[in-house]
Parts: sequence; structure tokens; C-alpha cells
Amino acid sequence: MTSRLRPVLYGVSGVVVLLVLAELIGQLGLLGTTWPPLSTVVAFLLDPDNHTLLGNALAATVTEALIGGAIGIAAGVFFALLAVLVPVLAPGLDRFAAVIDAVPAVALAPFLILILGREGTPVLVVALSVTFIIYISMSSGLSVASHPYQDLFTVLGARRGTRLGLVDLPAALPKFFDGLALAAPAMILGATIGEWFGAKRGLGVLFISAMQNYRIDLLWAAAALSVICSLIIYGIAVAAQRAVARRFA
Amino acid sequence: MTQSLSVAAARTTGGLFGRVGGAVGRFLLVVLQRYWPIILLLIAWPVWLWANGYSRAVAPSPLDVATDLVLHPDVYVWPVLWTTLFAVGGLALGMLVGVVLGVLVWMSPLASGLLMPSALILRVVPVTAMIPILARLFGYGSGTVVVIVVILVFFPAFSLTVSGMSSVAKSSRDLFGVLGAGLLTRVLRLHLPAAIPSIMLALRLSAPIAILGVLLAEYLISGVGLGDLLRSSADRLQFEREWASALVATALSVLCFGLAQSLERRVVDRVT
Amino acid sequence: MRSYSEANSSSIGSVVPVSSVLQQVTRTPSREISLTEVSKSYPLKRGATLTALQDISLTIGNGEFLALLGPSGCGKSTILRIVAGLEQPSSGTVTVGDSTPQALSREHRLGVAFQEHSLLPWLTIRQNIALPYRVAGRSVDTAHVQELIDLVGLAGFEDARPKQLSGGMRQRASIARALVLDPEVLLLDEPFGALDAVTRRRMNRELGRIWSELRITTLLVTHDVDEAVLLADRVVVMTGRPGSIRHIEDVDLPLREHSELTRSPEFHDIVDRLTGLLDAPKDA
Repeated sequence: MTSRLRPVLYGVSGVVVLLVLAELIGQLGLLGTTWPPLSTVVAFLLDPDNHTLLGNALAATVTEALIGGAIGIAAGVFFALLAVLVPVLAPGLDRFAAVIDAVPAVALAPFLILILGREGTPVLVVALSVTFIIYISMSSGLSVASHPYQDLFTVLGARRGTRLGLVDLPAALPKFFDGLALAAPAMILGATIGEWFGAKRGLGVLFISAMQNYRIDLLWAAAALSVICSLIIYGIAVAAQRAVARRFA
Repeated sequence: MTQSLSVAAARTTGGLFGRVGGAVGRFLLVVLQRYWPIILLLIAWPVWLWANGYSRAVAPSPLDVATDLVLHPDVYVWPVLWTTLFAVGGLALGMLVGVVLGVLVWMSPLASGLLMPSALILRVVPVTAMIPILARLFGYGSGTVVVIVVILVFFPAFSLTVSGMSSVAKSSRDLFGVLGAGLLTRVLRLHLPAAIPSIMLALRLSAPIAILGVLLAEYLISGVGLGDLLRSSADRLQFEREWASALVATALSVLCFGLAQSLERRVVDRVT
Repeated sequence: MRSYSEANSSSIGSVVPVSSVLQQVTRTPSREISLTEVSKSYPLKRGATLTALQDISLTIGNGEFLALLGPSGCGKSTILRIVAGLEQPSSGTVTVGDSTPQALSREHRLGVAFQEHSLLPWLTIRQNIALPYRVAGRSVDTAHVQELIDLVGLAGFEDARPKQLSGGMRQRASIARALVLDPEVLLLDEPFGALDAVTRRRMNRELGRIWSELRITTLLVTHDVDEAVLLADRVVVMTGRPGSIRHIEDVDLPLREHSELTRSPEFHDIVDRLTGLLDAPKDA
């Protein structure tokens, strides 16, 4: 029991040390006014006066992240299945996925703005990065779908579609949720990058306006919110991943 | 006699053409199979512009973009060099710091227990939030660009080094135990070499991230590089230049990814 | 261990006379391994314990080749891991000579080969065999490494990487690595378990030849009856749950050539009897 509790204990103490360190740097002013004490940031977050500003930005960013994430997941799964069902398309899709991954989101902005406008761009940036991550993890999940079972079903004369549904897809589920956990931080990041290209609302907009107006507390509060959001999405993905791993391992 | 010779010659040349034709056909087929989505995009681009009736001022065609690239190479050369320099320098430095700290943390269960969860939290801080804070801390200059890339590259290198060092097969660990190897010997002769595939994976994952980090940082805070070109041409409504620098940035990033990938393949083939 | 006539070496392709290796090895004395009432149990969930070994008392004489034979899960590998100093017994004592396994491993005096060859993929065969020198912090005796490469029949493959070799060749390299520091105790944990039957027999033959040159105190863990009877001076048959000694067989076959031996009625007698012991329920 103690050996199972120890990693949790270490981890929690590590996080506490990190938070205390951040608070001390702020309290002692070691890094100047740019690094406020964490307590100030928390107070700013809790102050009802700021809730409209932060709430609007948060709602915008989370909405973009979730819509973009949903589109990205659907597209990633679709393309991964396409590559499996129409193998001739697979080499091209694999290479294109590598290119999409390598393309810096900033560079895509001019094209995306033209296609969806400044408000739709964040959604598309999120969708693109999530598509890539899900495509890669689904493809690797579908290809590892354990060969003994594949052989069994082939011998039993199962059709391609039957085998995909009964064997390959369930076997790929753990990898899918691995991908989802990886995609979680990418969703918030993608949304805030997209917001840099002229969106009216969002955490990304707050980052820039706070920086330009020397609103250090606002900058940190917005950053803290983005981290908390990423962690919550990540936590949900990891919980789903664990549940699936228990069921399908 | 002569007749049969010429017939034979004709057959040979015909066969030769057939073979060459077949080879070209196969080559085109391979290109089509590997790059069909990109070819599709290049076709869809002008078609889509035409269908929506966009004017050149709003949306440049591939031809406009290519023309600007060819006529004004001087505009792009320096930004590309700057961006490459910062990305590669930051990548190297970040990998070094990540691997060294990863090794040190792996050697101490207490340190890894303390630091890994914190590293996870710091890892999800979006770079978009990081850049404004770091810019305020370290100034709006090129030094900050390097700091940003180092931080971005650090986390994958760090966590993959730790997990790679822990992934050593039990029989190898037993072997070093029976041979009476000390901690340092185990790290240098077993765990670190065993982590090389993971470290190379971190390099491949980080290469495009480094480029993205430099571009974002340049876009927002420093007055040099491709990110700055992207922003300044957008501000001046030079759309063909904005699109061209976006294309150049994409090409640079894909190139870095490709180089890192081929390096990874070579190194991993050597150590596994 | 029976020594084989010179004739049998003709069956092995690249064998080199090994008198020089013999000289090197004779300078180090072998040691006796002694286990006294060794038990090993592992804690399970909810306070339960799994007893892997119960009251094992066993002595492996100086220069003796002893085989531990038993079905998988009978704890025979646990005995080897305890003798190797990789695990501590829950009760009882283990001594090697007048020392402990841990002390012996600290002094780099143990040689070991596992079922997984555990050759490091980033090193060449020569570097892998020289690895124990590096781990011990000694300068590599290149001549001795080369002798061992010749001894196990890997001449010409020194600069190959493990993945370029067949399973049998990897095990040869792994055995050469186990021998390179002239260990006082040689521990072999199913060293040929991953090989096909034909390769396995050939490797048995070669190990027999190599061992008869070196005569190191050796503990072999195996589930292959033929292998145990072919190689060992004594075969210890184990049963599982909890692991305990069921029978000890002194193999006292007349010295003769390997292929003849495997066809002899005496050999089959012992093999049949031990196989019967492995099959039969414990209280039979």
C-alpha cells in the first residue's frame, strides 16, 4: 500500500514545491513585476469584477477547442479508416499527415482566414492538429490489431468490414485514447494560436492585449486558465484511456 | 539477313521505349500514390479561388506566389537563415538540457517522483501564453526566442529520456546486476544507449515544434525572421508575400522534420 | 560432466584448440555453492503470500556441473537468481566459497547467460563479449576476447551486430561473454530455451566441449531433460507450488562420444526416469 501511495505523495509534493516556489519568486520580486505572487493571480481569478472578461474569453476558447477537437477527431478517424479500407491511398495520406504535422500553424493562418474568416480560424487550427494526432494514433492502433486474431478472422472467412468492426476497431481503441490524451493540450494551444489572427474574443486575445497593456495579473490569470483547461481535457482523456485499457487490455 | 536484323533492331528499340515508358509510368504512379493529397490541394487552390471569384488582391494564385518568390529571393533569404539559426540552435540546446536533466532525474527516484508531475503541468502551458510572459521577463529580443524554443524542446526530450532509460529489458538489467555494475556504469553503458531511440523520437517530434516556436516568437516579439516577414507583409497587405513566406515556412518545417526523421532512422538502425 | 573424445570436435565447424584459454582459466580456483534451507516468498494482495521456494538445501561442488530440471513456474529460475545475487532469500543462507553472491558479483566473479541473449544491440559481437571488462573497469584483454570468440566458433563474425546473427550464434556470443572474466561460477538460465531443437542439440554439444575445457562450477536451469542429462554431473528435479527438490540424480554415464551417448540405453534410462518424475503428481 505504501509503495503504491509513494508516487502520488512524491508527485503532490513536487507540485506543491513548484507552486510555493512560484509564490516565493513573486513575493520576493526576484523576477521583477512580470512574475506576480501566485496568490495575486488566484485573487484576480476569484474577483467577481473580472469574471465577465475572463468568462467570455474562456467560453470562446473552450468552444473553439471543443468544436475543432470534434471535427479533428471525426476527420482523423475517417482518414485512418480510409487508409485501411482503401490501402492504395495510405502512402499519400501518411506523407500528407507528416506534412500537416510539420506545417507551422502560423504559416497556415493566411489560408485559413481566407477559407473561414477570422472567427473560424481557431476552430480550423485546432481541427488540423487534432486530425493529425488522431490519424497517427488510430493508424498505429489499427495496424497493431493483434495478428493472431486477424488471422483467425481471415480463416473464418470474415469480410473486411466485419473484421474491421469486430477486431481492428476495438483493438485500436486504446491507441485512440492515447491520441486523445496527446491532443488535449494541442486543442487549447491551437485555439489560442488561431485567435492571434484577429479573433475578437478568447484567451489568446487576452494574452496579447494583456501583454501590450502591461496587465500582468490579467496575463497570468489567462495563462492559468489555459493551463487548467488543458489539464481538465487531458484528465478526461486519460480517465477514458484508463477505463478503455481496463476493458480491452 | 538484313531484314531480320532490322526487325530485330526495331524490336529492341521498341522494347527499350516500352521499358522506359514503363519506368516513367511506374515513377509517376509512385509519385501520385505518395503525394496525391498535395497534388489535389495544388489543383484545388486556383480552382477554389476562381469558383469564389476572389480577386488577386485578396487571394493570390500559386503563380503570383511563385513569381514573388522568384523575383525577390533577397526578401526571403535572410529571414529563412535567421529562423533556421534560432530553431536549430534552440533545438540543440533544448535537447541537451532535456537529456542531461532526464539522466540526472532518472538516477534519483525521489527527483523523478517530485519532478515528473510538475513537468507534465508545465508541458501543457500553451506556448501562446508562455511567449508574452517570457517576453516581459527576458525582453523583446532574439535571446527570448531562443529561450522559448529551449523550453518547448526541453519537455519532450526530458520525458522521453526518462521513459527511454526505464525501458531497458529485464534480462539486460539482470546481466549488469550480475556483472556487479555500479550506477554510473549502468547509466553510461546500458540505460543511456538504450534511451537513444526515445531521444531520437524526441528530436523528430521537436524539430517542427522548434520551427513553430521560432515563428510564433518572431511573429509576436522579435523584428527578424520568417515570422516577422509573415506579420509585416500581412500588415502591409502584401498578400502574395504573406502567402509565399507561409509556404517557405512550411517548406522549412517539413525539411527540418524530414532531416530529423532520416537522422532518427539512421541512428535507430545503428543502435537496435 | 563427461569429457568428449577429440573426434567429436570434428562435428563442430570452426572450433579452435583452446589450450591457451585453459591456461588462463586454471589460474582462478572455482568455488563451491551451498544453499541451506533457502525459502523465498512474495507478498500478494490482501496480506497473502506466494511461496516460490521452500527449504531448498543444495550443494554444488567445486568444478561440478549441476542442472536444475523442472516445469516452468517451479522456482528453478528463482534459485539461479538468488545464487546470482539478483534476489535475496526470505530465509536461509546462500554461500559461494566463503563469500556471498552479492560480494562475488561486486567483485565481477560471476558469469551468467540468460534465455534472452541480452546482447546490447548497439555493440558489435566483439564489444559485447568485452563488455564485462568495461563494467569491471578493467582494460580489455583483446587476445583473451579473441580466444573466446574462437572458442565459441564466432571467428569471422567479430564485427557483426547481434541482429545480423542467428539465434544460435547470439547464444554463443552470450556464453563467451559469460566466460570472458574467467568467472568462478557460471550461471546458465535456459540459455538455449529460445532455439529450435536441432540448434539446441548442437549448442548442447558445444557447451559440453567448452565446459570440459574449463570445468567451472556451473548451475544450469532447464526444462529440457535431454539437455540436463547430457551436460550435468548431477540433475536436480524440482516440483512446483511451492518449489522444492523432488529428486537428485547422479549422472554417471561411461565416457563416450556425444552422438553415441544419446543413442545409448543407459542415457535413455535416465531420461525416461526423470521425464516420468516430471510428469507424475507429487504424492505418487
